[in-house]
Amino acid sequence: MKKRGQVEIIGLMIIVIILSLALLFVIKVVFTKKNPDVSQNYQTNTLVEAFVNTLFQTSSGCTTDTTIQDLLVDCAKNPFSSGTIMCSDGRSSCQYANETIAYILQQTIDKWGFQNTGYEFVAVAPPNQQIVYYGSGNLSASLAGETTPFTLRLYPSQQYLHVYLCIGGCGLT
Amino acid sequence: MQTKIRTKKAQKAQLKTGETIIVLIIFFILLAGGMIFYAKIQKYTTSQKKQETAAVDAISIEQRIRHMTEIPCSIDGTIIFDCYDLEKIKGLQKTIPDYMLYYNSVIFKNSKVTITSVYPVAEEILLFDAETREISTGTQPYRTPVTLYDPLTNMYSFGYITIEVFTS
Repeated sequence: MKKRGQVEIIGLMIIVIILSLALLFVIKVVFTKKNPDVSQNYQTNTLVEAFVNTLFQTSSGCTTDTTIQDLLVDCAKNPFSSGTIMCSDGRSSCQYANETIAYILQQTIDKWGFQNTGYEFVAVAPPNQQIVYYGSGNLSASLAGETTPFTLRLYPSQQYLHVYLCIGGCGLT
Repeated sequence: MQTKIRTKKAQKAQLKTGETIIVLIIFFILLAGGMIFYAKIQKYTTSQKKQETAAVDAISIEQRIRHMTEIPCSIDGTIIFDCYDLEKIKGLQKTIPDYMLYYNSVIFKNSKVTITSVYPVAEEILLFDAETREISTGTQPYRTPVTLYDPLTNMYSFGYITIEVFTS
């Protein structure tokens, strides 16, 4: 009689253990399942391209007819003299481009929740001279999906200015 | 003697009945717990699905805005991609109330669309706000950078479109 009771208790324990394992499995599958966030992926992929293209077209405010692209090209052509364009407020094209791009990034991407992944904006002029740099958030370089640079031809030379906007870090340094 | 045996049998039967009742009670408690747990999981997955649907809706609204013929910048009839004319936007703002049914059901659906200029001019324009917003819950806003052209000053501003889709 005593032995039968013990067997029953062992049976009950086995049932309880199986149920607990099943419950844990369900919790793990349902709550920890990482769904591919379609919107977030799309936003990240289109953000970089749209951001840089928009930035190039934007009126700089340096002079009445210069865009940010003009400032970057001028700065890239003369990186050691901080550019030839002198803005209406006395700043050089390099300084103006740096400060304006930093301001735009702070007002947009910084506010859009990219602090966790971090990002870098880098403009590299020949011969490998960083003329603009802005980094924000936790830079891991692990999410640097967009490391293909945007290029601007530095006419009349055959050289190019490379512009990077990397979510997660460019890992250039 | 027979009465004693009967009493003993009755006691055993009572014990068995009590045991059965306890087992049934435990079974129903477990069943109720399982049902509550299942309902919670369903609620969680439904809310996740709702968020996903709203996010996809935001993308499709952004695509529709991108291809709207009412607001893009154009130079000599050539449309500049991802660029919107501020004067045309202001014109569209005035037109929307007259064709509310069309814009509400076909273009913007249950959303709020804001156009923000960041640099050199800081400005915010509310293009559309769904009427049913009060009884809805918002989701993560979707943003995309765009160029905003002001034909009066011939200036191109850096801006972005914010789309918030509301789900009931």
